[in-house]
Formats: sequence, structure tokens, C-alpha cells
Amino acid sequence: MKRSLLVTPSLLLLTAAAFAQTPVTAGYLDRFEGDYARVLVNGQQQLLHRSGKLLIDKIEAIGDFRITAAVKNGAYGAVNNKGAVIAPFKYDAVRILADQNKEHPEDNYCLVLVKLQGKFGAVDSLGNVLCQPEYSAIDIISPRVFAIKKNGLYGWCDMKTGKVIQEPVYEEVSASYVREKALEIRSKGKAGIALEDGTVLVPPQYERFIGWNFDGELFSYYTANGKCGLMSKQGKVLSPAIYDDIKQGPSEDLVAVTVQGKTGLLQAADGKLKVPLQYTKAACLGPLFQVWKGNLTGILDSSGKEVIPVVNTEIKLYDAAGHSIYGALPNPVRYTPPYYCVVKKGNTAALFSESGKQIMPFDYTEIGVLPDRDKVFVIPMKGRQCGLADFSGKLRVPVQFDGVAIQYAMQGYDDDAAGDEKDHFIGVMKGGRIGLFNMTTGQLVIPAKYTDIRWQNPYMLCLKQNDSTCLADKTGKIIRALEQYGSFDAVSANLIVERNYKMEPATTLLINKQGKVLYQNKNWNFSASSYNRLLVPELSKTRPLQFNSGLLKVRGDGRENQFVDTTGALVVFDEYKYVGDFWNGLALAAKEERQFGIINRDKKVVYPLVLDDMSPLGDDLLLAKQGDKRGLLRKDGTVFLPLEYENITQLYDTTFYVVTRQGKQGVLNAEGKELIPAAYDEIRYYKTLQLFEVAKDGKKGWLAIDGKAIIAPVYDDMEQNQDWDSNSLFPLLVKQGEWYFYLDEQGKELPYRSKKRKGYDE
Amino acid sequence: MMSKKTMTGLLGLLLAGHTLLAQQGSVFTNGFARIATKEKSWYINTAGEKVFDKIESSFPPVDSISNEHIFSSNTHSMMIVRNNGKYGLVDDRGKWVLKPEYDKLELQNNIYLNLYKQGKMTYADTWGKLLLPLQFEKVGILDDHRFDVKQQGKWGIYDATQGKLVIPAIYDEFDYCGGCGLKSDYVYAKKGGKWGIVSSSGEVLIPFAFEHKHSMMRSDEWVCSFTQQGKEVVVNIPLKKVYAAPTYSQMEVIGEGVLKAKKNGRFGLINVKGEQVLDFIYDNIEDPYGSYASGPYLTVTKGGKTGIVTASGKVVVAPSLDEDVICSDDYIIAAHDGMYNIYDSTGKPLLQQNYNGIELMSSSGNIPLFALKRQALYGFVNLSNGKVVTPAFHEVGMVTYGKDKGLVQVSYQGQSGLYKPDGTLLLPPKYRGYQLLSDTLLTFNTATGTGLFNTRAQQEIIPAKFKYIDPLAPDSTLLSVTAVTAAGEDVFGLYSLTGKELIPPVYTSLLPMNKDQYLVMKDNGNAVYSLSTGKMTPLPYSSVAPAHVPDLLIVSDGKNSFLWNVAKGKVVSKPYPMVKRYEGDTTLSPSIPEFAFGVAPVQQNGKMGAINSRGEEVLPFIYDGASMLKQGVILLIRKSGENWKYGYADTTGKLLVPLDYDYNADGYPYDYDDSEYLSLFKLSDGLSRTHSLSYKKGLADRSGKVVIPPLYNEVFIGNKNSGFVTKTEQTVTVLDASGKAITAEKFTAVMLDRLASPYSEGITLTYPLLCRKGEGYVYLLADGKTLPLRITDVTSFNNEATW
Repeated sequence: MKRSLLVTPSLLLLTAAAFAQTPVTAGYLDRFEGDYARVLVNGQQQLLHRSGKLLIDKIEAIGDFRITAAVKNGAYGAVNNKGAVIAPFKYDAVRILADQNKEHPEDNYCLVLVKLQGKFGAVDSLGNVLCQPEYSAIDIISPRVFAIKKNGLYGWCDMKTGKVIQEPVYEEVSASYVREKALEIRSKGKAGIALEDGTVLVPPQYERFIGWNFDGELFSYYTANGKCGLMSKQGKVLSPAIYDDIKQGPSEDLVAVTVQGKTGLLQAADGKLKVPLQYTKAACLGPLFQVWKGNLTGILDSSGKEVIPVVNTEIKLYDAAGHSIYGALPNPVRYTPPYYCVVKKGNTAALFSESGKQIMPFDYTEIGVLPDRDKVFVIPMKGRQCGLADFSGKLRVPVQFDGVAIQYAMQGYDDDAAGDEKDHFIGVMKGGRIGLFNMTTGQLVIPAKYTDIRWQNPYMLCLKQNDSTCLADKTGKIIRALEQYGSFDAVSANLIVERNYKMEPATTLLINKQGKVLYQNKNWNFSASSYNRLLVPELSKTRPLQFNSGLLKVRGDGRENQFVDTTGALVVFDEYKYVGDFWNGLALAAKEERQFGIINRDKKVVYPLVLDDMSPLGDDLLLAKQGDKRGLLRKDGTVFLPLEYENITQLYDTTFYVVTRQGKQGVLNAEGKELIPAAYDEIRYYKTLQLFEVAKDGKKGWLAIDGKAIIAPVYDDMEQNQDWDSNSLFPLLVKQGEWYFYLDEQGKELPYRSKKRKGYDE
Repeated sequence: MMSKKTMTGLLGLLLAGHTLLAQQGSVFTNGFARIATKEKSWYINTAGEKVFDKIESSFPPVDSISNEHIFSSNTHSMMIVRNNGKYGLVDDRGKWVLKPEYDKLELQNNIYLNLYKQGKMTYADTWGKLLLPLQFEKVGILDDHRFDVKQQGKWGIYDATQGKLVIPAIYDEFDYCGGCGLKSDYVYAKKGGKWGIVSSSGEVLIPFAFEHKHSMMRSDEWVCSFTQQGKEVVVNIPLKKVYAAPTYSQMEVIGEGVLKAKKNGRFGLINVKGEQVLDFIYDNIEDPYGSYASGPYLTVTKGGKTGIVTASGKVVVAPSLDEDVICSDDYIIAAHDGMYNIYDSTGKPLLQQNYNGIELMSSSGNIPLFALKRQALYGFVNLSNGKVVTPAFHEVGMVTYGKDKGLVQVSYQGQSGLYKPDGTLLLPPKYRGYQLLSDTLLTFNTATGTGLFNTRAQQEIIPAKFKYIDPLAPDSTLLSVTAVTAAGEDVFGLYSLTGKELIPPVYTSLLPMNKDQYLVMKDNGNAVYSLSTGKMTPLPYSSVAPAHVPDLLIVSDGKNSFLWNVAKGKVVSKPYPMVKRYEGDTTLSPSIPEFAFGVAPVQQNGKMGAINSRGEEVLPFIYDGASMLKQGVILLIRKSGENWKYGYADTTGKLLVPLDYDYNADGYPYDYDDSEYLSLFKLSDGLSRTHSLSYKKGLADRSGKVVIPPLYNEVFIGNKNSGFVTKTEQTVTVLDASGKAITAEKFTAVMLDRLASPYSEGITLTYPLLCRKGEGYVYLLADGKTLPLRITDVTSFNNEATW
């Protein structure tokens, strides 16, 4: 009986292979859900593996590497992702112990446990027998070795070959955390350390071990009377077990040892005390030791030298990028040296370097450190007032303000249009009002008395005080005085548009910084935020309207073709009925209604004025429409796709364009090259799979990203694999004529077909 | 019932947002009303007297508590109220339960009231009954009748049943195990900085020599929460014995109250009497039942093997078993070398063979059912009869709900079968699904349809060819079968429980007429089938409909309609000519409608009458309209020119209300049948017949006696016979249940708290009733008098209400 069971799976494989050409007719087929689909074969509901090679009765579990613990013929076996039976269906139990670690593939392992008559054995993912079922337990210790248990004792085996490295002689074996590739072994209740290769590093004679980190050379060992000593990775005792506690130091040279509540520093090399037992506590703080005497704290460097005396109440450590550091440095170090300490003594705070050099005096009540993208701000505070400094200790903004506009935008301060000036200027707040501080000159250029400050270009700022407005340049000089309901907009380095309500009637003026009126027009409806942005790149679309290409559009008078130049002279584009705002020397233009094109500053046509409409498509292209034709233009007016299509859309989150020609869809790539000819009724793209689903004349198929057919569009119906996790559509359940069958990712048929799809209640 | 629409017109809305006038009043709720002035507000009772200032909160009192679940009263509520800064409790009939004399009164955990007064506190139940007198500084609740109480800074125990301190108030602190199932008759007490144990009668059981933490609390003979000078101890209370380190370590009370301890590196057991019941020779001792169950066994381990012992130290199985042992009551599931068996209390294996897995079947209740596993297949054993169902299934499990609850379901390759817990096979696992009909019958489903299976004979007695098979009625011995025709139409037939076809499944409808006869219908004919004779009697009528009276059909022959008695097999009524349903109707319809209340209003020669189920005329055919109302009375209408008069008759034909009232042909049916009363409408002279406002309304009772003459625009009927409110254009009158006005005073509105029960359709009129009179309001009493209060506006009952 056992023999026949053993050979059955291989026979079945042969059968499937030999008769691959003549499919089995099933009672029904169901769509795949992951690796299996329900099928009715010989009147029995079974599960077909996606390889098409194997039928099973029941899935017990699916583990990593898509190994299945399965049931067939009333017994357990295991199947790998290729559909090969790796443990024949004869076992009382099968368990998959595996780890699929994408970041550390070297730590991957796969051990399939099999149980027969109460005993465990193991096979690997290819079906190689690692050990026969002769153990009372098998357990993973590491990706490289597994534990075996026999007669109540443990040994271990090599994960790859199954070779017994250590016969079962220990009461317990487990992964040791004192160094890599080490095991903690126990015998007569005592712990020792062995290497995975079987070498005994420390014979079992200790209570326990405490490892600090894998890369370190040191760890502590404990004896039965609760005392501990220091040991090296090679198992060498570096200090006798006379300490109550040992703690890792910032370097391998020194560790903190504690005896009866007193802590000192021990030299690891010779086991001698370098710093006497004089502290109540010591702990790693980045590359330093933080030590305490009662409530007072100080800093020792890694050589044990007291660089910040133990007279402070609180110490915080930051790296040069402004990140807070707690405890020991991680390995690998994620921080940016050098390091800085904010030291507090009662209600005063100062800044020190990691070597103990005082950078800022104890003049502040608190010092904050804030990283903001590529910058770090040191924020000294006195009570509720703050300033700004850097790690050199230099004050960039004096401690006089309630707030400075860093990290999160300050409400009412907008430097979006300030350009490079952002590095020099900062918004400051006092008593709920905003001012402007020049960090380079150290001057408060605009006192904090405004409710709103907005840079309009890198030269001028609009200032608001409730309903009054004024205009200043970046030196703080008031260009236009504060005026209730005043309306000023800087439109270039030295030109301003002002709506003067005192004039009768109210008139819009173009003036220079000196106040000279260059142009005026009562019908000019200027608004810095409303202009034609079709040619403007995404990043600049939120900026206030400025002179561009030497022109500024004058909206009003019922005219759409007049501009002023920087001298105030009116420039009228008489040839055109409509000219949009200029960008890089180009503007949208129209001669008649619905006849749009692009012209340049010299009034020359760049793209002919023949379009009904233009709209943005992505940041770089314009969708041009003429009648029922569509094309794509670049923003410089050159043609990307000619006006040949009925429809053009960009596939979401891709650089593919779906084009429609004569009612049929096709796909072009980012360069406009045809990937899929316009021959399909419908095209859908699956980005994660990089596949196109296409439909043509009521038939469905699949194309690869290069447009080649994987599954020709000849099927009446198509159901994808329902397992969304595996990101695979295949095998597909397809219908062609009266037959249902499966297609794999190569388009190959699996050897089962049926005239019936499984119903929902079957 | 009065429609909501009508009510809104009649009742004043309870609005706020008014400017506060001199004195506002609310409607009475549970015997109180709120009176508010610009400065303050207070509550009055039905006599108009001020009773308290403010409602602090209201809550339902507790009816019972069972298994920690609180059952609150659905019918009563209590209110904590404040008067002159003091708190009291009133019930929902407006009675003081606790006078307003407490400094604080608050609900605790929805089950107690905490009462504070002049530095003392006590508890009451949610009905306001004091649980102990108000004489202690602080009180804690020990159990139903015992309280830890603080008196002059020290703690004692008060027993409410004895009405005295049973432990004098001389202790610094008490502790006890509130969460223990068993209540102790002692408390943990602290005196002089140390803890000991004091009995409920005040006797010091364990002297004050320990430190104590509120963890590992017990209520039995053992104390595990004490330490002594920082050392681990366990105290046996009756023996007054202290087990302590260094002799004993890792002590724990396990199983059913034995002390597990380590001595000389090994574990043993000591019982409550202090006897060493198990030698100190084991590597470990554990409770195999886990945290949520208990039983007689403990497991012991020695040399890597596990054994079973009882709490008295009897070795059931010497340490020879594998590590994982599971105990279920008296049964022990354990393995030797990985192969499992079940052992009894003598250590004897109960199964002839070992299995590679055994587990207690969940939800099996008191039956000792265990799932057995061989390789990947499951079976089960019932240890009460020893019957083993050999492992042959992919799954076994107890059915936990539905008709087959308590049976064991098995499945193989997705097909289901069924066993009784005693191991008897009911249905082999060959079917997609099944439904239990009786002890011996179930329907089963396959790919071809539904069939019937006899579990006793183990036979398919109706093959799987039907869409559905259902019992004809819950207690019927007949089965209705549903088949599908080629055209996709459902057709019905009848089978016996033995699987015999009684009526073939070819009928579009099949209706029982009585215990023997069935009306069967199909497109080309209707018939009556008799079960007893097996005879099918065709009905020679073109149209047949059930009359909804036993034995009775309404049949029509194309000209006339008749009543047909199925049992008698003959026509039992006169012919009634078939009718056109509407003007221009080209077909004729049966003139007899379905019966209700044993009567059907019937049309004949353009007139309406009514017949009973015997075919007798109960109302003559002289009416222009007759319609059965929901109340079970017949509305009769007679038309004379433009005049439509109506009245009511009962189902015997007796005229209850003569046809003296004006029928509104454009009205709605619910005008006539929306209450238990009979609506009476009279048209006001000279007004349009089609406008509902032209009719004055009144009411008659079910005997036809006029209660409210039809003089009113609207009549509101109070619930529970509480009277009526009528309204004319100008005035509102309040009437008692007999229809008599309570007072001659006329009001313009009556304020009713509809929000008191937003889901109820009606409102009970209760007095004092807030009525609007002129520019102000009065509280009207049941005797027609009013409370001596001048109210200028309406306010809400609750203090906080903002609208």
C-alpha cells in the first residue's frame, strides 16, 4: 500500500505529460484563485494546480515560495510552485517552515516538515529528502540550520543538505543573539555557545548570555549567583563575573559596569576599570556616554573623559542634520556627524559640541533643533520668544520674535514667488503680526506689523494690514504707502500695476517704482491671479502675473489683443482678435472665434490659427482640437502628433497615449511611436503587470507592453485569476465556442476543458 | 388612530426661541411640569406646588442583574433632581423616593446610587432603597449585603442583614477579591502597616505580618498575594501555615486548589490540609485545562516525559507520555511517540487504535465527542457509546445552528453528509447540500436538483429532479414540489412523505382548501383534488379564485359568479352577474370579491349588498356603495343625486349607524377606518362637497352610539380611553371618555408633548393639561378646574432644551 502511494504522484505527472495533447473533459471548470482552480473531474470536485500537472483534493496551507501543503488520497503531501510533488501524499501532516525575505535573500530558507506515525522528517522545496521521519520534533534555528529532537534531546542539521551537524545531546538549542551563526546550547540546566558548524565556543556552564549587537565584539555572561562579566565573540572571558550589570558603551573599548548601584567604565581589552565606580547610571548616547550622579547629568567621550561636567539636569543629542538621537548609534550609522548637545541646567539651555566645546551660552530657556528638508534650524528661545541660529552658534535672527517662518509655512507669509531670495529672507512674527527679516544682513527689513506679506516677485512684496495694502521692495523700502483697499501688484522688478480708486472714474495704472505713471486705462481689469496659463509650466502656474517677453496683457475695453510694454507703450496685435498672456515669447492667439493657434512676440504665426480649442494634456503637451480631429502640440508650438485622431487620452500615471482612429483604439508611447495599431474596440492597461487587455469585434485578448499578442483576441469570454496578490492574471479561464479551458502566461492551454463553468452554488 | 398630519394642525408645537415672557410653563411629564421665568426655573407637581429646581439626570431603575448583565426597566424611570442645592430622587409618578436633602447623589455603574450628606455616604439601589444607613465616612461594596465602611478614619465591615458592624472599624485598609467567583468569608486587612486576614466575624485568622499587593488575589484557603520581607510566601489560612522561600520557591496554587512548589530543585504538591500529596521529584507540574476550564487532572513532567496525576496525588499515568497533553473533563488526550489515544481516569486507553491526531469536537456540549485523524482524514468517536466513525472525511464538525444543530456534518471533496452524534449515519457525503425535514427525512441537492432522502432506509426516495421540495405547511405530512417547465415557469405538485406522487408537478398554483382537498390550477383548467379518494374533480368554471374562507371558492362561468363549496362539491349561492370594472371595460370580472370577516360586499344590478360565506344575503342589494373597513364593519353608501349619504353596518347586516351622514367621494379611505371609532361626517351647509374642510366631524362608538356629534373640524382621540379634544375654527374643547366636555371653557389650543414618545401614533391625555386660553395658558384639571398659575408662554420640560 505504501509503495503504491509513493509512486502515484510520479505516475500522474507522466500521464499529464504524455497526454498533454488530448485534454481531459471535466464536469466543470472554475476560474483560478491563486495557484488552484476548482474543477469537477470524474464526478469529483478537485483542485487543479496552475501548472496543469496536478489535481489535489484539498489545500491545507500555502506557504512562502508558494509551496502547498495539500491533501490527496486521504493523506498529506506537498507541492511546489511548479506543480511538482515534493512530498508524496502519504503523510500524517505536512508543515511549511519558510521565510521569503526580499531584502535579505541570503536569509531565505524553506523546510517542508513531514510527519509519519508521530515522527518528523523534512524535505526541501525541490523534494530532496533532508531527513527521514525519525525525530520527535524539528524546528528552525536560523536560515542555515534546523534543530532535531530525539529521545528528549536536541541537535541540529544543515538546512541545505540535511547533514547532521550535531547529534541530539543537548537539553535545548536555540539561536544565540551574542554573535552571528551561533547557537545557545543547554546541558544540565546551564547555557553555552556553539557555532552553527558544531564548534563549541563556550561550554555549557553559565546561566545566560546577553548580546548587545551582532557587529560588536563583546557581550556579557551571567553566573548562577546573578553576577556578570564580559566575554569576547571568540568566547574569551575578558573580565571575571563580579558585576551586577554591564552595559554596552559607544565604542568597543569601554563598557559601563555596575556594582551595588555604582557605575564606572571598564576597559574591555584588559578588564580594568578606567573610570572608577562613581556614577549612579551610565548609558550610551550616540558616540558618547551620558552619565548621572543622582539627578545631575554630564557627558563622557568614548575614551571616558568627562567633556561636559555632571552638573546639568538634561542633555539632548542631535546630529548635524538635526535628528534627535536616543541610545546607542545604530549599525550602520544613519546619522550625520558631527553631533551637538543641547544641555539644560534648570531653566537655562546651552549648545555644546560633542567634544564639549560650548557653542552657545546658557542664555536661553530652551534650544530647539528642527530639520527642514536640506536645512537645520537651531532655535534659541527665551520664554516665549524665539530666534534662529545655526550649529556654529551664530544668531541669524535675534531672539525677539513669537515665531519664524520655517518648516511649516507661517500663515500670512508667502515666499513662493521670491525665487533665490528665499535663502536670505524669513518671515517673523510678533504679537500676531508678520515682518520680514534678512538673515544675511541680520536686519529686520520690514517690521512685524502686517497681517499678510506676499512676495510678488523676487524684488517686491505686497504687505497687508487688515484691509489696507502697501508695497515694499526687498530692502524694506515702502514703494507705495499703506492705503485702505489699496490695490498694488508688482509686475516686474520695478513696475507696478495700481488700481487707483481715488481717480474719477477709478483707473488702472502702470507705474514705475518712482511713482511715475507710464500707462493708464480705466477699463483695464487687472488681476494677478487670472491669466491664461496654457503655455505656463506647472511650477509657475500659481505665481502672480508678471511682465513676460516684455509685455503685459491689458484686459478690458472689450478687447483681447492689447498689451503694454515696459515703457508703458500700448502694443496692439491688430491682426488677431485674441492674444493670450506671453510665456517664453509665445502666446495663444485667435483670428476669429474658434480659430486658435500660437504666435510669437513678433506677431508671427508659430502654429497656424486653425484649431477650435486647446487644452492641457500633462505638463508638456496641449491637446489640439479641430472639428472631430485631435492632435498634440508641444508648448513651443511644434507638432507632437498631427491632427489625425478622433480622440487622444493619456493612460493614467503612464506616458502612453490611447489614440482613436476610425473608431478603433491604439496606443502610442511617450515619443509618439505606435505600440499598438489603432485596430481595437477597447484597450485597458494594467500597469503593475505591464499588459494591455484588448477587445476586438466582441473577442478578448492580451497584448504585451511591446504590443505583441500574448493571447490573441479570439476568445468570447475571459476570466482572470482572482488572486490579486500574486499580480498575475493567469491562468485565464477562457471560453471559445462551447468550450471553456485555461490559458497560461505563454498562451498555452492547460490539459482540461469543459462545456460548463462552475456555478456559484456548486 | 388619528393621522399625524391632523395632529400637527390641532396641537400647538412645543417651540422655544421665544423671548422669555413673564412665566413660561411646560406640559406635564411624569407628574411634573417646568415653570420658567427670565431669571430661574423650577418644577411643579400636579397640584401646582413647587417641588424642585432642576432635573440633574434620569435613568431606568434595575429590574434584575444576571451574569453581570443589567436588565433595566423598560416601563419606569427615575430622576435625580436638585432643590435648593440639595439632591433627591423622584419616580415617574411624581413621588419623592428620596427627599432633596443630599449634598450629592449620583448613579454608579447604572446599578447603585451613591448618596452623600454632611460628610457621610451610603448606597441605595436604583429604586432609591438605602442599602445601609447613612452613618459612615466612606463605604465600599463587598457583596450583596456586606460593606467595608470607614468610621473615624478606620475601616470595618458592616453587614446589612444584621444591621451592624461585624468587623469593628479598627483597620487601616481592606482588600478582597472582587473578581473571584467564590466569595470569601474573610477579608484581607491592614493594621500597623502590615497585612493579615480577618474573618467575617472579626476573628484574626492570619496575624498582621505581611506585605500585600492586589494581584494573584484568591478567596479560598490560600493567600498568594502576600510577601514577607520581600520574600515569596503562600499562606494556608485554616492551618495558619506560611510556606516561604528558601525552602519553597516558584509557588502557585493550581488545579482545584493545591499548592505547587519547588523544593530542592524539584516540584511537588501540597493540599489544603497541608499534606504533601505529591513528592518533590518532578521537573514541572501544570494544569492541562488552561485558563478557562478546570478538571481533576494535573500533568507532571520528568525526564522529558509527561504523566497525569490527580489533585490528591494519585498517579493516573506515570510520566511516559509526549509533552502535549490535553484534558477535557475526565478524558485525557495524549500521545506516545506522536500517536494519540484517549485515556480514562484509570489511565486506560479508550480507543483500540492510535490516531495521528485527536481533539475534542467543539460545541459538542455534554456529549464526549472527539474528532479522530488518520493521515489527512477525519472521523469521530462518541465515548458515551464507544462508537467510532472511521476517518474518511476531509472535515467533521458539529453543526451549531439551524435545524440540524447538534448533528455532525462531514464533508469530502466539497460534498456534505450528516451523522448523529451517536455515530449513526444519516446522509452519506455525496451531496452539495441538504435540509433536514424531520428525524428521518431530509432534502438533498445535487447538480440536477433537489430530492428527498430517508435517513432510516438510507435511500433517495424522491430523485434529485425538483427545483424545491418543501413541506406544504409547517406541520404538514405533504410535500410541495416545484419543477420548472421547458419555458422556465415554476409548476407545483404534491408528494407524500414516503415519496409517492399525489399530484403531478404540472400546476401553476396549488392551494389547500381543507384537510383533504386541494385547488389545483393551470392555464387550461382548474380542479379540486381529494387526497382521500385520489380523485381529481374538474371545476367547470372559467375563473376560480380562493375566497379566503375554508372550503369556499369564488367561481365564475363567464356570465355569473357563484360561491362554490369544495367539500359539498356544489354551488352555495345565487348567481351574481359578472361586472365591468370601469366604464368602457371590455371584459367581465367576478362580482364577488375576497371575503373578510366572513362577509363579502357584492354588486348586483348596479347596487351593492353583502353576502356571507353560506351564500346568504346579509345586506340587501339597495346600496350604491359597500366596503369592508379594517374595523370589521361595513361602510354603506347611498346616492341620491349629488347627495351621498353613508352609515355603517356590522357583518350580520345590522345597521349600526343609519345612513344619515355625508360621504365625501373625494376623501380618503383612512378617514373612515383609522380608529376604533366610527367616523361621522356632516357637510356644512352651502359648502363644496369635494373639499374635506367642508365636513364637520364626529365619532360613534362600535355599537353605533354617537360619542361626539359631527360638529367639529377635527377630533383628536386620546389613547387608552383618555378622552378627546375637538376643534372648530376658533375653539378647542377637551372632552372626557364619554364625550362630555370637561369644562365649558373654550381654548384655542391644547399643548401635548408629542416628543415624549416619538414612535407612538397617539397620545394619552393626562391632567393637568396645558391649554391655551386667549393670550395665555392654563393648566386644566380633570374636574374642569385649573391650577392657580398664570402662564404666558410654553417652554420645554427639560432645562437644557434649546429649541
